[in-house]
Amino acid sequence: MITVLTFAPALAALLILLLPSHWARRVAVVGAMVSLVITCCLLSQFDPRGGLQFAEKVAWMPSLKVDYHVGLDGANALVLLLATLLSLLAILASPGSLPRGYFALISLQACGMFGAFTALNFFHWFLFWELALVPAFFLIKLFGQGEDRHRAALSFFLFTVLGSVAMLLGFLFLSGGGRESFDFIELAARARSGALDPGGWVFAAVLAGLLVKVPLAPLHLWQAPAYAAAPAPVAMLLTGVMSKMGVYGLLRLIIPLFPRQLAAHGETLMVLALLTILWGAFVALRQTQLRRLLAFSSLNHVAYCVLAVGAVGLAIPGGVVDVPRLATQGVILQMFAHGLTAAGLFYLTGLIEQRAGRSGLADFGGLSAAAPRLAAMFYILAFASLGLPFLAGFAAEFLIFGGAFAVAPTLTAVATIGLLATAVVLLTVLQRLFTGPTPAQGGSLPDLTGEEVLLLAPVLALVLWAGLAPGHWLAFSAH
Amino acid sequence: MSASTLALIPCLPLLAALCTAGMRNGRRAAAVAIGALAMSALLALWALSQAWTGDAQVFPLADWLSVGGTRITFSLRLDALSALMASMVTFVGLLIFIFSTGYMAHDPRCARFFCYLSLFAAGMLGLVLSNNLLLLFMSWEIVGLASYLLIGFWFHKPSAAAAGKKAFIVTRLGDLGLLLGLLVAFTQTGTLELYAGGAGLLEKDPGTLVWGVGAAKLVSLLLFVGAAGKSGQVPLHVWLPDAMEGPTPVSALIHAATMVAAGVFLVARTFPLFEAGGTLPLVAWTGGVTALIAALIALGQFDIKRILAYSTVSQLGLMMVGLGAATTGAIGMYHLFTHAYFKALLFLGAGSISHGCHHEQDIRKMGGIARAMPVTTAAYLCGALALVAFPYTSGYFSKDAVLVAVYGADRPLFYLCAFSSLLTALYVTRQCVYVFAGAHRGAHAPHESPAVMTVPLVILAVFALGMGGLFGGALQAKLGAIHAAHPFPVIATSWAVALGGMLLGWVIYSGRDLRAPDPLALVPLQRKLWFDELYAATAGRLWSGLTALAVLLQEMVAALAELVQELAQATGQFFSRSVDGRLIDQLAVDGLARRFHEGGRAAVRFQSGFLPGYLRWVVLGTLLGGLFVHWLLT
Repeated sequence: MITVLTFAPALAALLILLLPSHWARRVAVVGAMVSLVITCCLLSQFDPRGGLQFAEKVAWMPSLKVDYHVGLDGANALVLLLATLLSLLAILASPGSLPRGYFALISLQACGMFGAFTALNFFHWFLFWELALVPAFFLIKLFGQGEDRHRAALSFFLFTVLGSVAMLLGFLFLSGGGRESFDFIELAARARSGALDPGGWVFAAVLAGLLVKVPLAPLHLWQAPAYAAAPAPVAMLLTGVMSKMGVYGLLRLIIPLFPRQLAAHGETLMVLALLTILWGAFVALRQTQLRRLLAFSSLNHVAYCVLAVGAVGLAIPGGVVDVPRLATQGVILQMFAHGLTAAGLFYLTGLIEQRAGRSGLADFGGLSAAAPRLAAMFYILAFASLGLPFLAGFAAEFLIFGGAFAVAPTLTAVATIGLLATAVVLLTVLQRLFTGPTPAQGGSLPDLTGEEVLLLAPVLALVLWAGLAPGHWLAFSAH
Repeated sequence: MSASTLALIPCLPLLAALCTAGMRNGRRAAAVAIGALAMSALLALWALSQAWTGDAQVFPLADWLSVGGTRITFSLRLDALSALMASMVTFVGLLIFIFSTGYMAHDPRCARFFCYLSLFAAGMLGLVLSNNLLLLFMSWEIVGLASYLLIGFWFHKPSAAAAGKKAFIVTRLGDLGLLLGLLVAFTQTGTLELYAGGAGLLEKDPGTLVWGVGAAKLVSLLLFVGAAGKSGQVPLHVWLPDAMEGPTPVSALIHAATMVAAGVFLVARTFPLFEAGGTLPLVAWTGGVTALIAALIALGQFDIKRILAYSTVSQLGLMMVGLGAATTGAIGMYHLFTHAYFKALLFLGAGSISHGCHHEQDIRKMGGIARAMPVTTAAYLCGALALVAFPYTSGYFSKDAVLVAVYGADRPLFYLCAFSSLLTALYVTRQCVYVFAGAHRGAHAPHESPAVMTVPLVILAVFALGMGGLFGGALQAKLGAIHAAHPFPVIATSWAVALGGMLLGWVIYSGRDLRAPDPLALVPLQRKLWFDELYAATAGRLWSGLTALAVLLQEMVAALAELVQELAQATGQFFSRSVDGRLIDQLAVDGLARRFHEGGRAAVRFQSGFLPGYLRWVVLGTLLGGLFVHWLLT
């Protein structure tokens, strides 16, 4: 089933190219819908205590010990749901007037992301990882906005490809030229028993490849230009899902395969995360363009995940609280929460830009009066993003901070300044956009249509659900 | 009383908030909100009757999450403290809701107003009933959200939007303290439940050191930072006066009676931690300094609501003194309860006055209100007497209890409190003379408000006058106060500052031309002792410095990356032009090809197709060949 859900969008991409172009959007929607429905079916049958489930394993290149191996467990169940849901919403958010190339590319990108979240063998995991990257490059370059898009696309591509190269080399060393298996599960078991002991350079190379994607400062330079230049639905996917690929990689590769190195360098990782948290929040304060501001705010939010991963490395067994559990659960929930809220915010931002034809923070004012529904949605998502209790972000941040505080109190205390700065950033956005007198020129923005509200409804529902009852969502990864 | 019935108390207003979120009809929304809160009030009274006679109880509700061995269970606690708070919040809230139907009747977004008010009530009730520090914190933040939304309710006013933002951010600064305190408690004890049959946070010793400080001391200090932010204690008081940009019922409910008292409630709720940590003197002195500074600033203000706002800050300071100087939380909480009624009354009275004066809030443009608005005036004066602590009003009893406690605990602090009480009487008298006496100085003739606004005023006035005398003793006893001797100097001081301050105010202001400059409104007081300017110059500077630093770093790294990219491009160009183009293409590949080409061209000349020419070469070749063979053989 996982294979079907992964390749459904790829099949859709193929069909889009074969069928008449006015079918393109519909075919893409169907492809993504198939993936989402299958994911929901799988999750409804998912047994939290069952370990790895729905696995498919086929020998592929026995001489290289490469199998086609996919499956669902606690680490990827929630993020797969996020990916399939947001892919569908992103395609639905794309106007049908776009050429079919766009829909083929976005479907391919979806296929790459689904594959990367379900793969359990490095070989095809890496193929999917790259497959997600290439369509994103073309989507930004061909369908993006602004003169800067070529540069942004190139920068995005170069950074992530360089990261991938580092990771590939690292893994080739790790596998010892084919002596070790490429299978994540087997490697993790060997690492647990101490049989696998990769060197520090291997750790650094794999980590660097993942951190480019997360991204962590100072490897984040591609992020703001790419988010600003991408078409709004693609930006939803970039921030909602692609940044989670890096974090997921930390959960799948770094924590299980490099326990010794993570313990040795956990503190460095936490310091880097702290730097990124503050960096993102404070740079966001000075942004004048809405998308760039949200990009830096996103940088800040995803860095909390890295903080937690560092804390896992520093955990000492036998503490009052179970740090590795708290931190990993926090990361998983934070991926889900941030994916939903950030994608929602980018969607709304795209709508605002499209309607007003402008994107500067100073170009707006008093939108609450002109577009009350839009305002209400934006407020809810913004407060979810700044960690308001009973919305998705809070539970995740509580777990992350709880885990991190137990091992590094001072560092975590400093990181809370990021929470304050995020509040300042987002409240400033709300103040500039939605309050004050309505400007004489261009103040009347059409409100959200019923269709647009419907598109956001699942996002809002999940944001509330995950905030009110995080236990329900954490149950997937409880064991 | 079961857990679900108790949970209904906060859940009913929450449901009302959800129902009214999409409504457009203001009257219907008001009916839903008032109905829900009235039911909550009845339930709260029932809960109070249970708590009054029975023991404290804990009601587990549900697991919020459970990770590894850590389970976070949300539970509610029913004891005298929480039941009294819940009753007060629902009762005062109900009166203010009813008042709002008159005050907000002509606002097109009236339905949304009741939605936010209901959300606030839900958060506040969750906060007071919670038995889990995390649930308390979560409700605390919801209350902050509602406060933000309601301060900025008239969002088209930039000042209102800015005030809402300021309130949220300053209180969030305090909330970070609370969050850190929560994290310390959580990582030290593994639980956030306050009472759990002996295993709760307040029942066991958190013990170990964090950052070189005992955990109880650290947790209580951090919790107090949160309490100071919410309850407007110096130096985090700056948001509260600005919050007066919100509609007046909001000021009465949130920024006078309930939310701002949440900090005081938090200290009372976690009192054992403060006792164990030895942080009570800090609480008391912070409160004392706040009481004095705010009372001073109140003297220099001309906005009727801002005077009351500073008065609230000052009284909150006094509550903190009551907590910090005593051995139980009872005395501070007692002053909280009496203050809730008389300050809500004063704010609603101020709302009624400015409503009658066509939204005028400057007391210099009022005057003569007593004749135009007799009911409002009578009610307002009751509240004012209670605030002054005029003997035998409710404020007298509770303030007296605070003074008794602090007299025994810390004499200098006692004098500080006595002096700020004197100032209180002075600024109240000043305000009343400006507002009620003489002839009207405004442009429009004032008119009395409708009954829907004056009836709640009258009810609150009864409480403001009578509550202390009627329930004071029982209330304190239930909250756990220990009966203390009543030293004569304290009684004398109480009477002297209240009556003396009023007399002084009367001497200064009665018969004076109120259009002339005010003798007590000195520039430093009018400018609020330059707290805002001070923060802009220090914290604001630091903040922009950090931002500039981050931007600078960002640009430096971006420039570095640019440089690397340029270098890579230049290297590429070097290779493509010089190495590839010149060396490989021109010299190696092309050059070799050219040599062959030229060789070929030369060879072509020999192949002329001219027979005698070929023959000539054959003869020459044979001759040369013959000579070569000859040379070889010889």
